Amino acid sequence: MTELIDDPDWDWIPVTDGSVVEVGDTILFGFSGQWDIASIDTVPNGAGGTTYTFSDGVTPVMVDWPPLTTPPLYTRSQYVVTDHPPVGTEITLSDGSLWVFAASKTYRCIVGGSTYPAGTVLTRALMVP
Amino acid sequence: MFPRPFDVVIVPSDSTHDFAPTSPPLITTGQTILFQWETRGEVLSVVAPGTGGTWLWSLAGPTYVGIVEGDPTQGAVWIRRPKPAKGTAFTAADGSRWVYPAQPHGLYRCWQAGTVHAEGLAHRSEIDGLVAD
Repeated sequence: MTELIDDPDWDWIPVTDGSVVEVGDTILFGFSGQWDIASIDTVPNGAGGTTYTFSDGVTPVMVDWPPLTTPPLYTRSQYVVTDHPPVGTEITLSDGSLWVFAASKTYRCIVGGSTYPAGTVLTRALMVP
Repeated sequence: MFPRPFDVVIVPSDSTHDFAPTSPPLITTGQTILFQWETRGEVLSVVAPGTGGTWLWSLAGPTYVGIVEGDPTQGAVWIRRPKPAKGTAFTAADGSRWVYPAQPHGLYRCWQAGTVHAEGLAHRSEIDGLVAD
């Protein structure tokens, strides 16, 4: 399942019928895929960064890092996929906040940091590394 | 989050797995990685599908103009709409009843469960078939 972060001003609504999209609308188009990383190659990208090529042995994925100053049509993000930890597992983020994994499959901030106040509830994907 | 040109992030959600943000320098062999591509922009033109179900949209983004193609029935396309007025009531496709409380988090509150959604908060993008009462 995929969700979008809504902001205070705008909703993002799934489009199941393309005819609802009209000129002047703002739309978001996204897709994703999962790779078991078997090999990694790196080369300078000529823009002061590095082009990483990740492969599962079948299909390579190329990612520039840091992201290029002028973004391409598609931006790309990446997530490590792991099993959920046991309920009660604690993790500390780089902002100093302390979180505990809850039965609701979300993390609850129990000690606030410079980014997150105590009481914040998020999925792992939304938390800074 | 990592620097991004957009203010919207597509977030994986799964009852079994964690999806922890990472960056290319931290990725190692043996890891399983979910890569996600996204683009967003104002629609400049629309080409309806022929027999394949794939629509073509030309988009104007912050620094580009490009063409994307997709089949909306595959769930890869979202449209931006203004928030409703505070207190607007809705019924979703599963029969659940909702209200938009206009809180800073921007979430909708389910006050009567349906066949899919339990009582609680949810992103608008997660609620199918929401219709104002």
